[in-house]
Amino acid sequence: MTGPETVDRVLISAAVVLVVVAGALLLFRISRGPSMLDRAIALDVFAAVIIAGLGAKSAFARDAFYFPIMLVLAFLGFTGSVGIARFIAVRDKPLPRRKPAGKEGRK
Amino acid sequence: MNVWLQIADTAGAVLVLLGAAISLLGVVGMVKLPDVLSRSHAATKPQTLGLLLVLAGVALRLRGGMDLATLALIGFFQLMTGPVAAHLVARSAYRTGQIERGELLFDDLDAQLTEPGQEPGAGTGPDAGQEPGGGHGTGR
Repeated sequence: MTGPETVDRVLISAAVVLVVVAGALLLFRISRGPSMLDRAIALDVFAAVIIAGLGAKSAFARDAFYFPIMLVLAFLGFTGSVGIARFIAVRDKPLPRRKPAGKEGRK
Repeated sequence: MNVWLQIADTAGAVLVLLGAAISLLGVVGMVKLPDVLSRSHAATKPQTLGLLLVLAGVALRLRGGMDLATLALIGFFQLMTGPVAAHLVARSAYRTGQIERGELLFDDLDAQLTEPGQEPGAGTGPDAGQEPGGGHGTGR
């Protein structure tokens, strides 16, 4: 293994570490998002992070095997958040967060 | 090995690392920001810029025609579906009152949603039934 290939391996391994840390933080946000909309956004970003991780794996191995999976995730990853935002979030209101003074003040 | 191919490989690895770093920055913003709207604003960064950088890096390392076409298609779908999801989530957050009204500097939509005859609390407007849960009518 030559020197530049070692540099490539180190760079992509660092990218994988960053992606895994991002996924862990997103799991934290999904676990305690105050509302369903936060979880919806976090799931949407989670699909993007999975695509980035699969892309890092493909770049590491020079392998196009996971490209259809990335394609399907990019195409269908937004349906979950759209469904939650359109049909579920109106029934799942955690707390009324409007302040009474704000409502009276805006005519 | 050709030196230009090696340069393309290393540039691809650097782009993958840069895209992963931007994704991590956007996710940190999602964890730390306080509101649904600001979290949605932070969520757009890993979805578009970080993912496009990662895909460009992969395209620099796999230099086949079919692979480039598939990667371009992935980026295109992500660019197309990201704004739709962000728009619907923000709209639902506004209509169910899950945003911090004290933090908004301007609220151009509010005057349109509370036309005379659809005041909050009236509940008898012509389209009061169109909006499940009441939207702006539930704020007390």
